[in-house]
Amino acid sequence: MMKQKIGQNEAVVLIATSIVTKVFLAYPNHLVTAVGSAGWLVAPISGIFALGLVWFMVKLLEYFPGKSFWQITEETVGSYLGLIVMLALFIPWLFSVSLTLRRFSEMIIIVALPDTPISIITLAFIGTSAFVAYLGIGAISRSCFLAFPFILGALVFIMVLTGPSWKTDWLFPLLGKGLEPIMKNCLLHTSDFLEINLLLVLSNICFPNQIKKISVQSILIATVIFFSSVLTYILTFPPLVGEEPYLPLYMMARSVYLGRFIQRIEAIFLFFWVFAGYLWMSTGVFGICHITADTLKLPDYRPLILPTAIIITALSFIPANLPDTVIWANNFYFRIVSISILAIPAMLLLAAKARGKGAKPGAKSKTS
Amino acid sequence: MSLKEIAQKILDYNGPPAESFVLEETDKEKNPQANAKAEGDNTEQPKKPSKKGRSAHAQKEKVFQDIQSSLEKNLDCVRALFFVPLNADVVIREFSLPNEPPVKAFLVILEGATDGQMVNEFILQPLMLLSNLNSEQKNKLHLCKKVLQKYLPSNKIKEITKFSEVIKEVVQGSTVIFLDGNPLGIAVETKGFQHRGIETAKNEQVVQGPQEAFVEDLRSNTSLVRKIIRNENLVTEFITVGARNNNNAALMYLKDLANPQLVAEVKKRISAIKVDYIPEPGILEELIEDHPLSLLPQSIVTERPDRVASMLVEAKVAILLDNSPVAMVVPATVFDLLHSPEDHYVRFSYGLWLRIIRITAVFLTMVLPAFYVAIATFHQEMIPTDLVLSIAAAKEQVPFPTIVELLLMELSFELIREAGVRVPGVIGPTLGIVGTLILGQAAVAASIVSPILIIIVAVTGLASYVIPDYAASFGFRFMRFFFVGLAAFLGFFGISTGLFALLGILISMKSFGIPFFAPIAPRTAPSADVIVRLPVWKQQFRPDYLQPKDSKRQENSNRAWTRRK
Repeated sequence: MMKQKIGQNEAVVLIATSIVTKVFLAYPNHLVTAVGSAGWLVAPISGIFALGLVWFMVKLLEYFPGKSFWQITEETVGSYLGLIVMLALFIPWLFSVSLTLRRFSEMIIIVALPDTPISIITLAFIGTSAFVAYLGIGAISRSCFLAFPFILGALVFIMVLTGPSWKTDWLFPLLGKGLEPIMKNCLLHTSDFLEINLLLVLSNICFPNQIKKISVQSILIATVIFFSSVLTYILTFPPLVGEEPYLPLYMMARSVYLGRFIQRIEAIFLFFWVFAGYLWMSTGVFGICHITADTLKLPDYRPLILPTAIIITALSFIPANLPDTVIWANNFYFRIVSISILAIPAMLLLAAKARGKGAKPGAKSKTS
Repeated sequence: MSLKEIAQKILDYNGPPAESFVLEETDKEKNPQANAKAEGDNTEQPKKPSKKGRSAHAQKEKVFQDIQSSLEKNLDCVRALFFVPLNADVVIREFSLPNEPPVKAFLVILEGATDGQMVNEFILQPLMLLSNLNSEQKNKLHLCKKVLQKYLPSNKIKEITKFSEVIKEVVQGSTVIFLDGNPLGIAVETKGFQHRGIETAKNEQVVQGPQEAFVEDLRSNTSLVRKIIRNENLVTEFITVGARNNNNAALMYLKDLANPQLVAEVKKRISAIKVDYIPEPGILEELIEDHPLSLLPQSIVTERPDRVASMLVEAKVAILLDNSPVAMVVPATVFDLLHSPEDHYVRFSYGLWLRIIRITAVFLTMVLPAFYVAIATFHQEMIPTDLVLSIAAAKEQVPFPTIVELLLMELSFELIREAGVRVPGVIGPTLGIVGTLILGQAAVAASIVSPILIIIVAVTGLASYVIPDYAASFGFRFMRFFFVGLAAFLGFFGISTGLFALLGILISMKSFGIPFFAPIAPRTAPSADVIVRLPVWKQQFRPDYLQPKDSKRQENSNRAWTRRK
């Protein structure tokens, strides 16, 4: 299989965009619901935790420069155990992509197309994502590199435009619902950085000597975006009000009032939100197909795209409605994903060290 | 007169009608099985060819023959090859060289392809009147060399040994001379095809800058480029394309700049073509570009020599075809399609402004009608209240849904555009009246469309003509129908879906090994001339993605006089 490499900047924005896509869904709402006015504190602390966890991942990839995740797993713990490890990474990915598909489809209905059946929107979403995934990781990462400044610009624009509604009073009490919920949620919300697992999925697609920079930069960018979006959300809406809306950013966009002529600009931002959703979905579909092809030692991932798209669509329809989807997503992120994100790289690193596998960190890779 | 004859005369009856002409199938088509068998099984005895088949077969054999010493045999061969006397364009002139004894000779030319005066004055006259070969040389082969060296005052002349070369030279307009006793032919370039003179550019006009444009004559075109780039490194290579029309393709590049891999790839793709007829770069483009089904071209087709020259010094490769007044330059990026030579001829700030206008025009062409459909159908809340009231009032009388209204107008616009190209010049003004009255006033007055839609369609049409590349303009205009469909179906979500898919497609495309979205995606070394056109002295390097042999365009000292010494 011809492996296309992606550069550092492209990888950084791809991972950062994948992580911050949650901002367009219910991320600020989750934090405000969990810790009240102290939600803005959670983002940077969970970012620091994520950086700590990424250390294991970076070390592991430094031990096996230029190798795919399946090769690393197979070499470290053998084929049988490796398959279980692979599934531990694969299943959260599959569910994450499916739930994102459902939540984005629901978002489109709420924001723009209230009378359109969800099946039409979901099919358009998955069809386009699968098509771009078919074009390859190069097309996805470069699209992301081009679109990221606009997505970021749209976010900043919304945050700044809500400026007239900001009230610093709503930041108090500073510790919100208390220190204990804050620390607990900081730990749990580390799983919001699940998409950093892309580093494992794309381990042989990125240049090995750039892995560390990619991981650190992408987490920092995501943390800054998480932090600023939650902070402005809290500044715009008081905590009790902020617990209500499912789409906080949409509410913020709706609250923008720029005089009599420009009042309702939220539909414009739909473009950027949809783009972010598409980028994450395409990356997700590609990631799943890439892992599967790698594990099954297939020469090409593309024949897997159609079946993967069908499975993702079927899974996305399992929750009966939007509240169910939200509950599924919360439980999934906080209970299942945390385990995979915490456990897998650390476990593999320990196993590699114990069994003396892998190259010494800093050794030059043939593929770099 | 018999009764029968009288009746025939009265009724104007001339007997049963003669059988009308019907084009019959060829022998090959009538008996496909036998032909297939004969082609597939070489051991089987070939069928006895028909008379026509025999002559074609004989001609085919002669093509591969060598030129012989016997003038008579050569003459027979030439007659057979060019179907003389059936083909009235072929002129075979027999003459003698004043030698002792006289040397018989003949020349062959194609009427219309050669310059008759040149043949008379610079070939026949020296050979028939001025040559004095005498018997100083016994060796007859040397006679040919002497003729070449002393009696043919032509700058382009060569010896040929095969009849295949004779054909090639004669159809290109050369004169081929045969001398008795010499197994060689002398090809003298006497090309005299008719062509128009150099005129101003018709499709890529500029206010400031050179006005010359290419014409249908290949040599004039290469000369126009060479006039601009007076450099020994400018190489012109010729490749023949098209098995039937034997058209000349000229490859022009700067030897010390263009990447050899790129040049080799262009040559490889052109040489691999096995098509019978290539008259125009548009056809060649389809055969050699990476994504022939794409709506956007992956090469620059221009009628301006100055544009070709500017791209050659960027390390690109130009392909010029005989009989075509345009040149094709490869590779091209999507940004090249939005560039115009004038961007560089005016002050840099205006050039930058022109670029911004064009990029805006691309988006307007693609998505403005789709935006209108999406807003009017799904996102009415976006329109400020006053405006929505005025639009609603205008639409009140219109019986059609927005999408039908828009498609009617867009279709009308396309009709006018196409008619504008095809309409004979004298009735051109009529088209303007019809377009203005029917589409503008009458459609609104009849409540078929709303006035705001006229504005949308007009702005979209204007924007599409701002795009400098003709093919790209077509492509972007065509895309708007997809976007309108998506907008009518899924509103803004549909438009963003289309934009995302389009972005993915464009980014994954390549033009002769160069990413179509370079240098932005993938990011290569920053270029001073992509979207922003920096001042000339800041354009220090050539585009990095072209991998030129010499990446430095200029020293960073062109405005050194501004610095304090």
